[in-house]
Amino acid sequence: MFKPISRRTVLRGLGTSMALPWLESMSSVYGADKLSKPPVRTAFMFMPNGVWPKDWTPKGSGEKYNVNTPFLSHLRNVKDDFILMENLWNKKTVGRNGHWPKVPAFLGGGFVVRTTGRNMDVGQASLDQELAKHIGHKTPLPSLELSVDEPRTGIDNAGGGFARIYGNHISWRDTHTPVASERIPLMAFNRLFKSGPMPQIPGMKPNSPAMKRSMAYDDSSILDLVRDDAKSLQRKISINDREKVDEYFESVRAVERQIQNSMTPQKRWVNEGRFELTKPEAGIPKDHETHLRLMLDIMLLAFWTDSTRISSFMFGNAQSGKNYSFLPGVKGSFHGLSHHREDPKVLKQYNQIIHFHMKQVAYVLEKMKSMNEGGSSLLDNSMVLFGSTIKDGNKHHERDLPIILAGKGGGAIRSGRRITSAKETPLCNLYMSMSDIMGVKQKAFGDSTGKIDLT
Amino acid sequence: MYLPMKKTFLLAFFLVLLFANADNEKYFQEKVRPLLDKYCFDCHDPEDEDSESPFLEDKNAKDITHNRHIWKSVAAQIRNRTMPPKRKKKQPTEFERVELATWIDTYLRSSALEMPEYAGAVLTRRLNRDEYDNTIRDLVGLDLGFSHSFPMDGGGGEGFDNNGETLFLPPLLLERYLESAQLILDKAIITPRLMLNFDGSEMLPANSDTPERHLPTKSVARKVFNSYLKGEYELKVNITAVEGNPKIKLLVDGIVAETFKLSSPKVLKTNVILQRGIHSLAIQNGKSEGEISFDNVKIRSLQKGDDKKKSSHQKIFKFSAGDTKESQRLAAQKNVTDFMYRAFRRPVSSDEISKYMALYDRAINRDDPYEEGVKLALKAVLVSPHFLFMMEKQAASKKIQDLSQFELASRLSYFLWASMPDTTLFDLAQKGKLNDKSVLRQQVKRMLADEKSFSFFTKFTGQWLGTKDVGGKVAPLGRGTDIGYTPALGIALREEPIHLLNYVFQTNKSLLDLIESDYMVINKELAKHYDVKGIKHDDFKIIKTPNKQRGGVLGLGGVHMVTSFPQRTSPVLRGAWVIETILGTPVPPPPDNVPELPVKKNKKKKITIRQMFEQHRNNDVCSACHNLIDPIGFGLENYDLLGRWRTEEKGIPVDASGVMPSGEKFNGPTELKQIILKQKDEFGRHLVSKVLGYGLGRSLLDEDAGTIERILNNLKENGFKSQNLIESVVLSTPFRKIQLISRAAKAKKPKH
Repeated sequence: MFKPISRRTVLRGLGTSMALPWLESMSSVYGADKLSKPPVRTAFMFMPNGVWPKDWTPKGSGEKYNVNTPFLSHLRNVKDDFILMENLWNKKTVGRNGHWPKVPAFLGGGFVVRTTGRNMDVGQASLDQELAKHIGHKTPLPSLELSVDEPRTGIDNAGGGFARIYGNHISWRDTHTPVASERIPLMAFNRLFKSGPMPQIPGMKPNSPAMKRSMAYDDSSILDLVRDDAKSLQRKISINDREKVDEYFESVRAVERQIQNSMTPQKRWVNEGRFELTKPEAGIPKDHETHLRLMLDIMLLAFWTDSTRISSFMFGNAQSGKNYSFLPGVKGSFHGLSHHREDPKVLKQYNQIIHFHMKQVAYVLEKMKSMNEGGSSLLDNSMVLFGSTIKDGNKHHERDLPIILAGKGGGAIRSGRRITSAKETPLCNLYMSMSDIMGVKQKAFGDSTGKIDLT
Repeated sequence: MYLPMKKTFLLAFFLVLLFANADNEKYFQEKVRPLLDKYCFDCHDPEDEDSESPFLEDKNAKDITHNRHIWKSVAAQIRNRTMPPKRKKKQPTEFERVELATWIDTYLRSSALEMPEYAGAVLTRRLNRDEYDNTIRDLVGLDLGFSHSFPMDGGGGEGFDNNGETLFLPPLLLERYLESAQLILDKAIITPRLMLNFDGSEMLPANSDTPERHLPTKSVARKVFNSYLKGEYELKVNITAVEGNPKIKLLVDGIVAETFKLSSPKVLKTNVILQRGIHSLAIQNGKSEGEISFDNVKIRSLQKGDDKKKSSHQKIFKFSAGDTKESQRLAAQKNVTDFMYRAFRRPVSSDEISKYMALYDRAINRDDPYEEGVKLALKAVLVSPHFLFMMEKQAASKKIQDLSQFELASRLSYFLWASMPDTTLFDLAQKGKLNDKSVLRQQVKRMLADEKSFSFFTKFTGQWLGTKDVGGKVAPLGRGTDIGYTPALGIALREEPIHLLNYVFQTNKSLLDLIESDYMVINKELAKHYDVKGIKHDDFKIIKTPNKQRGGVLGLGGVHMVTSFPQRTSPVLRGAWVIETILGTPVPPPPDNVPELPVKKNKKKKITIRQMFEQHRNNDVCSACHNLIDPIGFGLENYDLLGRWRTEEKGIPVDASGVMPSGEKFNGPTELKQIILKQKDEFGRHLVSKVLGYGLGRSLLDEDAGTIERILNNLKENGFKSQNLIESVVLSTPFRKIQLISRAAKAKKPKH
């Protein structure tokens, strides 16, 4: 049943350099219930600093549009698997600072209050987190937030006094709480392993009293205690402080649920075959593309093993200071070059960076398409939203955002076309439709005024 | 266009005198308000809800005191001629500008001192990454640095990452706290090495009366055991084949660790790496052949003893235990209590102690070793909100009251050490002595002298000046070797400002030395970089500046790097940096429709950065602000993008002269510094608010203006002595006291 594992790496069932797959071994250990059909997964991928519109927008309408614009042509191998979404926007970001308020509004469309820290408010929790609240309990990790850019901190005074932390997060648990993302590959990888079911201890049932007394339940008892601590605190402190303690309390509950989930296996989808990925080394790879692809692979691994069904991924933060001079001919940062003032020399470098990101998007989508899930592909069973919060990076245009929706959402989406909505259609209308497909019915979301027909 | 300088100053002086006696309300209604209505109403109509600067909503002088930050900017904009915009035909006369700006500033300042004492309240905040690491270091005595795996802290308020409002605690971080707590305690506490010896009969299912165990074909015997430390373990068992050549498997946690073919009696042995936790060892007899019997099973940790741990172990196990369970529990309770007291930074109640001791009991009841029982209780302490957050009890009313002694001890230690209080502070708190101002002064001196205060200088300086990213995010393109950059230089440039501030404060020099002084604190690396001869030491030391090129923060290469682009210097960034970081005047964001920079017509003609910028200052939209920003930046053009002194750029002599909007002229950094020194009140006020904001770990509010002004006055009376600043902050009302504040009103949202 088990592939022999190097003797020295018998580590609580899950090895350091152990080749995947591990899920099949775990599921056979438990004989856990399997889903009969793959679930729908959703990824939200964000790129800062917009695009050069002339190289984005194609000719032709509906299914017959010509994908061979400079940027979109990277996706020609998956042309039939995505929809180019047009004329969508987040109205409440219009006319405001070019970056800080736009990033938290990406997945929620809310009004982001200008502040250096007090009373941070983004107006609306992000869609990924809303979905996680409803369906996150079905998987070991409710959602997975990943990023590759070093966060920017402090305050942007020149930008009118925004706390830069706004620009580091597209995922918001509620209107004032950002969700931290992981950017260290090994840490993200370990989270997936830890979140899996407890390895079986032959002779001990996961929920037996003996097991509950054992070390396996130590963290649960610790969390029990500190949750109690937090509860008694809530009575003694001021309302403002209570929000901080509530946040702690919620995080304790989230980790408790994760542990609980690992003890009582959920009904999950189990893939056959192997997912080739070796355990990442500690630290962050020097080469940016290596780093990016590793993180993208970890996201796919999470989907493939049904460890989570919801993920957000940031290619960069608002006003990313990331130096892209590793690309030929590029000298400077993404944000710096985005203010190209249409100077052809600078514009060329800016576009290079966008090409680089489009290649990464192609990599993810093509890989998802190649991954078989019992007759359909992972891409067929997913929705991958990719986009930016401004159209023209130089001018910070908020209209007609560059948005792509890839995947067939488990058959709910007719892809391979462009959908040109009426001008100034809320991006949240698309989120309403995606939410439906994830099985989360909402009356309204953000500034939605309806839905977008994806069938 | 400009009034002659002398006349302006006389006028300002006259006005100040006038206001001191005038009825402010009357003056506002009769003079100020009509002027503002005349020049500002068009764009700042108070009825317009979209306006981001609704200062005309304030109909009375008194209202102004509640919107101080907006009015501060109103005064600055009027004085700097950035408002009203140039395109407006109606422009105030120079006299009106001076009159308005002076009145607003003077009124804000004088009314600040009249403002009631304000303490406010600090939002419960969690330890940030550095504070976590430092606190663990002082708590368990091991400098481990686990926080690199924590999500980055945001930073906010006055721009520091100890601001409670922007410190969040997502589930991801709580996971890390749990993991780190285990790793920290595993390193700090010595648990006796695992040595399990048991008879075959003790393995399940039980079916034997004799010590050795008989195992027929197709059957398994197991034993569940705990490993307390991740590492290599040896498994050993004596096995005899009763008949045939049976195939035997050794399984750990259901996974085959070793397979043997047995012919004669044998000691089977294998090594495995085990995680901390619960495991199962199984011996399985194969399908064919015959019965086996085994005995004398051994599980042994191969971990080497670690002497280095002893001091940390001793720090936790202060009270030793006897052999009985009772005496062990008693000692455990004492040790846990002591740890809780230090970790929660306050006395703990017996109720609290018994809750944590329940975890000790949990471990002991399943026969974990004594040390592991204590470890489990301490692990909970390290993820408790009382440890992770700086907790302060809510004030009962709006009336200002003292913080508790222990709360004050923590404020002091996290301010100056970014760590927990030490024994001295705990003792003073215990004795109730921290209310005594002379004791506080003494403690400030002692704490500054302690090397732990270097944390304060590191964190404060790097975030105030923005130099914390030098050598990291702030670095030349590529490797920079072509322009003389090395990683070692980057580190030295990042550290120089810290050592400078450390020196200024340790020796109680004047804070104005930060603008201009005749000394610098450098090492060999920087001496080479700055072309200073005869420096051979690797550590930072104070030396006299050999010429006028250095001295003060404007001579720091790290500052020049932060205010340059990766390929070139930027007078705009440098000018804006001085105005914001040194003088505390917010620089307005560029307008939405920034026109294109003029395209260079003659490509062959070399132009300097300065010439490039002169061009854009000819543009009306830009010049309003850039007339203020750029000259200062030009004055620093003698420093290249790595902060080296230069007298020419691309073969053209550097022109480091400038004219301030006031008409003051200067040439080069030294003269520029003299002009900045004239604004020592602005510099002082800004530095006070920075240090106060850092010390409190919260955003400053309009209500804090009085405190700032009082500290500034104190500072001026004491010749800007640096230690006086720290002392005044510590002695100030908001640092030592607390009051109930009503829930802050949500920021106003526009209509849509």
